[in-house]
Amino acid sequence: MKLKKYLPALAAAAILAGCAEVPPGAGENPADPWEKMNRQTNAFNYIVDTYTIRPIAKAYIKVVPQGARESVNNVFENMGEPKNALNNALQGKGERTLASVFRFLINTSFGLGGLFDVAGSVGNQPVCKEDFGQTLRVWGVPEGPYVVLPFLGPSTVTDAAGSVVGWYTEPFAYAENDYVKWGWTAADLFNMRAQMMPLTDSLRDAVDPYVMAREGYLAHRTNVQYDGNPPVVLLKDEFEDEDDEKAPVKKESK
Amino acid sequence: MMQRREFAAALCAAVLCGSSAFAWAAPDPKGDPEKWILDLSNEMLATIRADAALRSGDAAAVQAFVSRKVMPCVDFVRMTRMAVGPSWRSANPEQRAELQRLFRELLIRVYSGALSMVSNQSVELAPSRVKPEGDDVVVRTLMKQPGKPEMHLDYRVKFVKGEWRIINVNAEGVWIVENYRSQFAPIAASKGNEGLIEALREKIATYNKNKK
Repeated sequence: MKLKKYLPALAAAAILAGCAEVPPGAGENPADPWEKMNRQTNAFNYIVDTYTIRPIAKAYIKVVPQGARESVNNVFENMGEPKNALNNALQGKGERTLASVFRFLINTSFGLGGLFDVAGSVGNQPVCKEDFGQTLRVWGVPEGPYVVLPFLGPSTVTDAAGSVVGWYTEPFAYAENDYVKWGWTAADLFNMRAQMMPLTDSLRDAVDPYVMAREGYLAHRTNVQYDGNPPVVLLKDEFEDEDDEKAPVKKESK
Repeated sequence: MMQRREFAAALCAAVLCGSSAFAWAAPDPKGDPEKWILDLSNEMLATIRADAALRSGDAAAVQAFVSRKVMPCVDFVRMTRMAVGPSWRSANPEQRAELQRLFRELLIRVYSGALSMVSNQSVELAPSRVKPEGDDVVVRTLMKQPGKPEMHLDYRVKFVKGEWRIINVNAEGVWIVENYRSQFAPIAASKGNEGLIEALREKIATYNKNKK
């Protein structure tokens, strides 16, 4: 019912986004065969974000002091610990499973419901994040094409499937009261949006924000897949041969 | 007489070979690349911490910092050409100079916001599995801040003309040069070096306008 009210605005956003520029050769990247569609969704998200989500998140950052925002973030991080523990266990990572359980117990009790990250600051046990997307990858499910989800942004087919399962591991998904359930979900999303503000603001300054977000997302996912230690693949400098000729002249140093 | 001269020549050759072999075996008069990166990172943090104008993102202060502190530690020609990709080969010296200038300006604009976040961070070497060896290595570090998750920062450093130089930076799994290359190379491939220069100029112009 309520959706009807927003339909015209959404339609307007979709039409505006329809003007998204698609460069020649879009979709040739094997990781992103749906680039043409993704760029449209990306443009749609950009408009929705610019006029609704981002201003609210900005206001939140402006009004609420940093310490309080950190506590809010800690609460949501803490609520993610059961998910971390479950996924660490599903991936056979024993030590990290225990770490997640330990963090949840310590922060929920001594950290006053997760407001303070006691396990991290006093117990020196950093968070060991895992989600269902990662679990699926460990189980051998391929990454699948890159996809930009409406409202939610960069993902891959596998990660998107993982997020759906992941939602059911959030404690507040089981709240009886709908206001509580969706209120928490919305708060979680806005907290995430506020956390990402420096990142999304730097995206706005990118030459091609779409590509920067895609490459960043995929590299980040590979990184977490290897728990921060991905195999190092060094970019080859194909102009090494120029160094010898240029060295005596030194034309380029400016 | 003849014999002695030959002997002297051989001795000279041996000394030359020996010294170059020595230089090849120990290519770090600056010392360990890991130590260099570690000292450099913490020194940079201290410099930023001590300079309020720099932290606030003041344009003149940032430019001075980049020219004096950052540029001498990086091989920027190499970073630019790796970011530009194949079309660099056909770029003339003026275009190459302009591409470097624009890439530098772009990086300054994108990353100067991060200066305001410098407070009580410190940098340590990551518990690495292998000690980097050779003249093109990756130094892995962790940026730590009390109460915050640690951040992985890796530096690819290369031994260039007698010095270690940073040629790429990896933040949380994302290599900067690769990320820019994926944006630059398609533009350069379809619109040429001039097209890329134009796109960069436009981007910097809109950026300057938005910040005013």
